[in-house]
Formats: sequence, C-alpha cells, structure tokens
Amino acid sequence: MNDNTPQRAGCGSMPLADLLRDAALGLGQVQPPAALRERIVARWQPDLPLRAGRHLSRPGRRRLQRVGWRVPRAWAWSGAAACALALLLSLLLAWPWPAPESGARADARLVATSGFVPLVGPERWRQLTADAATPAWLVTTELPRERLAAIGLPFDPARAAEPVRAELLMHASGDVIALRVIGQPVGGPR
Amino acid sequence: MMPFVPWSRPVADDTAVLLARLGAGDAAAFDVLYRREAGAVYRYALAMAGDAAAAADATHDAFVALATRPSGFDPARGALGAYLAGIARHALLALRRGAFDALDDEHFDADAIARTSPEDLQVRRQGRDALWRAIRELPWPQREALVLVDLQERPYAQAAAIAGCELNTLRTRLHRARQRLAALLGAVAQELST
Repeated sequence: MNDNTPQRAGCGSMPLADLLRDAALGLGQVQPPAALRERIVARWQPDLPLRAGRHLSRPGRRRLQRVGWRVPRAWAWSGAAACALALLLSLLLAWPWPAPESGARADARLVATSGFVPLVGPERWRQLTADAATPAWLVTTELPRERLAAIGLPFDPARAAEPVRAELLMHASGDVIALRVIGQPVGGPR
Repeated sequence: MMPFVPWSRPVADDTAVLLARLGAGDAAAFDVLYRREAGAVYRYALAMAGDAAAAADATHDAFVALATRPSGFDPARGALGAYLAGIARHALLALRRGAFDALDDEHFDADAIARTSPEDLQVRRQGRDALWRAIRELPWPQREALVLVDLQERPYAQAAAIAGCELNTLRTRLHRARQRLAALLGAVAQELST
C-alpha cells in the first residue's frame, strides 16, 4: 500500500479528502471504554461508592454518616409514627383523585411544546417532572443520524452515518431522560 | 445547575459552574463534564497512539488531573476540551519517553499551503485501514495536526493550542502531513504536479 510510484488520475483514484472524511466519521463513533469512568472516579474519590450515593458530595456523605449513628434511637419512637403514616397512606389511596393524564398524552404534549422526545417510560417521566427542585442539565452533543430511527424520528438512510446535533436532558442521577434534535452536524468551514 | 424545566432555552456555557461543583467533590458535575469531553479526548489519544489501552490511560490521566485540581484549567487560555487533550498529549508523550520526531517545520509557505487542499490531492482508491496505516507512519507533529484538524475537525487555533505550537507552524505541519499522506497512499501524478 505504500507504493510511492505516482499513477495517472482515473476511476482508480479519489480525493484524499474523501478518505479523510470517511476516517473522521469512523473515529467520531468511537467511545471510551465503559469502565474508564469508574476507573477515574475510583482514583479521584477512592471512598466513593461507584453506584449508590455517588451524587453526594463529601460534606453530604459526612452528614449522612453522622445521621446514621442516630438512627437506632429514632426508631424507638417510630411505631406510632408508622401507624399514622399507614393510615394517611390508605386515605390517600382511597381518595377519588381525578384520573392522571396518560403517559402517551403527556409525551405528545412535551414533543409538541419543546421538541424534546422522552427517552424514559411515562411513569419515570412523571416522577422526574413532578419534582421541580431536582436539577437537570442540557448537554449538547452529536449523534449518528441512524440513532434517530431508534427513538421513532424520521431520518434518511442514505445519510445514516452523518452526525446530527442534539441536546440531551440529563438528570442529576446521570440518566439521559430526553433528547431534542437542534440542527445540522458540526464540521463545516473553520 | 438549573431547575428541571425541559422546555427552557439551552443554557449558556456552564463549565465554570460545573468546575466549581467538581472542586467541592460533586460527582454529578464530574459526570456531566466527562460525558461532554471524554469522547473527544479519548479519540484524539486513540488516533495518536493507535492503541486503546494507551488512549484509555491518557484519558484517565487527563480527567484525574481535572477532578483533583479543577483550578488548573484557565478558561482564558482556551476551551476545556483543549486543556484535557493537552494533558492527554503529555501522558502519551511520556509513554514515548519524550520522543517527539523533531522536524524542521518552522518555515511557513502560505502559497504552497493554499495550493494543496485534501480535495486537490488525488490518491489511489482504497479503504479506511490503509489510511490509518499511513497515518501511523507520519511523524508525531504531522500526525497530530492531521488528527486534530482533518479527523476531529477542531478549529486551527484550538489545534495549535493542543499541539503547543504557533498557528502557522500548525498549518505547515498539516500541509506536509497531507502531502506525505498522499504520497504514502499512492498519489496520482497529475495532481502532484500542481
């Protein structure tokens, strides 16, 4: 392949730009190994559990540890509180609340008003949206166009490998909960 | 951090806020920064090293450095992605024991560079594997310019910042990288004469 003998241009030739574009597309789809993030976190915060409670900062974990020592005494007073709570819960369950909006209708309204497509089930979505204090972030990224089909959006198979810009709505738990396509791929003129 | 309002407008660059939270040990902030930047850093390292383990190690070093000392990043000196790629670059060079393939690439010839875009350079028709083999044969500085600009589509200024060189030096390296790559891939005579 490293034959340096110049050849004549013809059907056996192609612009170097085409080869580079193809390699750039392939490279753009490579992702870091899944275990790398855990390896970094383990090095950064060796005492941090990898899954449960990983969103807590160090002061938050210390508070949790202090509260943990008081829990056994608190439980001594919890019998009556548990009974009251059970009574309240049964009243809440028996109350004739209006029927909640169906997940599909809520999803349709969300898509119509914001362009976001939920990536979680209706139940999970209602849980997340019900809590206005929960933080979330918008993360701009690029996705292979073919991923649009996986979430039910139309796409052109002839351009399946091209990236498309999208915003991901990421919950504090780390879950990506919704996606919005915002435009054409980056990579135009510099 | 923003309240959960899915129909809001996209937030402005929140890197400073995330770094402040990272400094306080907030793993959620780390997750956001990692998801945002790790892919590009890893791909840069992989393209330069040609070895997934070395690329993972370099990316690891970059993010550990950021997480343990977020104040090391100065937004006035460039984007966070460039800062992280710069750390990964140092890690990769350390693996090579500093061997940098020193080149005489300071001579800047704007005319020559303008004449040879990758659109003009014709090579034999071949696949992606052949291209990667040829890229690996380029000297480090030329390979780096090609990876950053042609494969990662980074702006020239950011690529120069990562490579630690002047803008014109980067342009020269890129120009020579493209020419050398075309030669390695069997350049077509008609186009070489331009």
